[in-house]
Amino acid sequence: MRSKYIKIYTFIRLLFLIVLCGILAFVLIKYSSLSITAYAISGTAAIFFVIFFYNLAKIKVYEYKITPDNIYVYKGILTKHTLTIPIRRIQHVSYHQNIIERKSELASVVIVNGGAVQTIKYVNVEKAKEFSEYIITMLNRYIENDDL
Amino acid sequence: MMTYRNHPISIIYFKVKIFSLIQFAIFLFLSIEVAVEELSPKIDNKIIIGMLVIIFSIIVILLFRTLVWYKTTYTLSDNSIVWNKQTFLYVKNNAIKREFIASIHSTKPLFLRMTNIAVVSITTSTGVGDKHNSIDLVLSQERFQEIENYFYTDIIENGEKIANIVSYKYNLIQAIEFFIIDQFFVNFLAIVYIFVDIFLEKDLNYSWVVAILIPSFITGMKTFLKTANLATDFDVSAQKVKISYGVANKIEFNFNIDDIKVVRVEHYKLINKYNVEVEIVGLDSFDNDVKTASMIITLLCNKKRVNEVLEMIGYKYDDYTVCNQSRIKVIPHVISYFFILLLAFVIINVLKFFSLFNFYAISIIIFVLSVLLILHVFEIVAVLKSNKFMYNNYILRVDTGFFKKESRIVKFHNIEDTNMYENIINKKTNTKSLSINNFSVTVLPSVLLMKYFKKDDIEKLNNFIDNKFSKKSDIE
Repeated sequence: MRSKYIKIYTFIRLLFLIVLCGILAFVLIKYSSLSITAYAISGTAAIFFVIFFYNLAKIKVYEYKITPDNIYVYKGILTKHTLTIPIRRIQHVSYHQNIIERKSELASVVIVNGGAVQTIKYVNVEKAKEFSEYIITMLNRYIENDDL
Repeated sequence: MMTYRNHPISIIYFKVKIFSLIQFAIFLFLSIEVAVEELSPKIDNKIIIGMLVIIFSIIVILLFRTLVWYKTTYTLSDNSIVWNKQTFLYVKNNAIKREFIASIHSTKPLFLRMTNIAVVSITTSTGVGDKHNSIDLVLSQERFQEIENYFYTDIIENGEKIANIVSYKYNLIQAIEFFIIDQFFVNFLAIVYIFVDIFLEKDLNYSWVVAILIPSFITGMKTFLKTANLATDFDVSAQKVKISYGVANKIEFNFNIDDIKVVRVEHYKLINKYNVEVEIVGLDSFDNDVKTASMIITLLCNKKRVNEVLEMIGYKYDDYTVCNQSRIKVIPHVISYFFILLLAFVIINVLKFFSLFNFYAISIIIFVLSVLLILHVFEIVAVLKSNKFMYNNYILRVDTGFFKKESRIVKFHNIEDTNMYENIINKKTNTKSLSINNFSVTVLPSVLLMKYFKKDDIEKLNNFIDNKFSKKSDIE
């Protein structure tokens, strides 16, 4: 499902990049000399391509794992992060969908514990539902066993 | 179950800054004057018309607020506090379950003190969306007492509180000392500047001294006014703490010891005095002036007092007899600052490439960055060397700083999340970093940051915390 997200993400970002370069080219050609225009367009395009590929790589390396006690999130390209969220400390859980996510049947799971909000992105909708239900079941089990 | 309304004085209690109110009044007055001038230039008594319009608007606002006051109720039941507010535009209903009340905070502003009325805020231990998790009430002293009793039900027996309360009060001299220490760096700079001016230039530039000292004095006075009347009551048997402080605005905090997330101990090495602060989720929503979620509980005390206080709230400062320890690796930290400088140079070169103007500004940036880097290298080598963390079976302590040593202590069962990370420098130098309690709502202090420690030590600690998460933590 992540490959689907990457395809949609790539398409939208490229479209955004082309539109932006077009606007910039129009403004610069109209109001300034040609050499500056060439530099500006190529520079902006280069920066945006770097950001684009960086974000793409970020999605590629993003991983999560759920165990009966903890949720682990692995992310980062240059700096590798290992995030651990104990299920016992979770206060509420929900899942959100923006326009892109709705079109690609993906969702972001939002986990709230005392003071912090952690978002687990690029999850299949069905998985997101399962995810939230699993956390609630686990929490109920902890409450029943007086193990919170 | 009992339903009440706020005290009627809440109709005229505007929770707005006084300066913005004056600004608004002036703006309104001038607009009315200009409008009258344009509409009918012959009218002479524009001021009277302006005043009348302002009075009319105030009456309309008061009527509106009276209606809101009438429609706003709060209900105390055995399990929860429910607050219901109705205006023309919206209906707001907040319910706080009794066991989730993190703290009760009351403010008595100067002009309300004569009327024996307090503004009370009740918040939950959830730090997310503070506006939705707090209830603000304007109450008379009797009603406030009722709410306090409601919160303290556990410790009321036959109408009397169990006599197990330890109190600490702080005098004026301690508050003045704190003011001097708090503003030490700025005052020190001002003194150095004065000496340099006198001895080198033989001509003292007073405007600079004033420019340095006045902001320092204002900030210091603010701290002073807050801490001047500081008093802390610990009710160990009921696990409650009550902190009151303030000269102009009397402020009072009540909270559960269980809700304390992190304890911070500051050690001023020059005078060998300690400050103890506690951090609670949701605390920052109480007081607009307090941007952090921390609250001072003792001020400029000795080590014995620190140990006493920490013992009362179930923490330890000194006693880590059976513990694991690790110290920072300084070199990778220094290298990380060189990376920041490198990044700055790259950005500057990109800017240079794209722009056509002269580069005086850029040379200033380079200069400032170089100075900062040199300062940081000094700081790192001299100060960060003392950074270390230590932990035993149920508590973790992280020490940072040298002249002002700061220790953050957290119980393992209070840890909300961990984030272990490794960048390029970490990889090359066999180190790792770990941050604990990455609260996004409370501002920074609750984070326990351990940067550039030995990889094995950090991984061992992270695994230890993971194991603690997987079973009900041992609480001593």
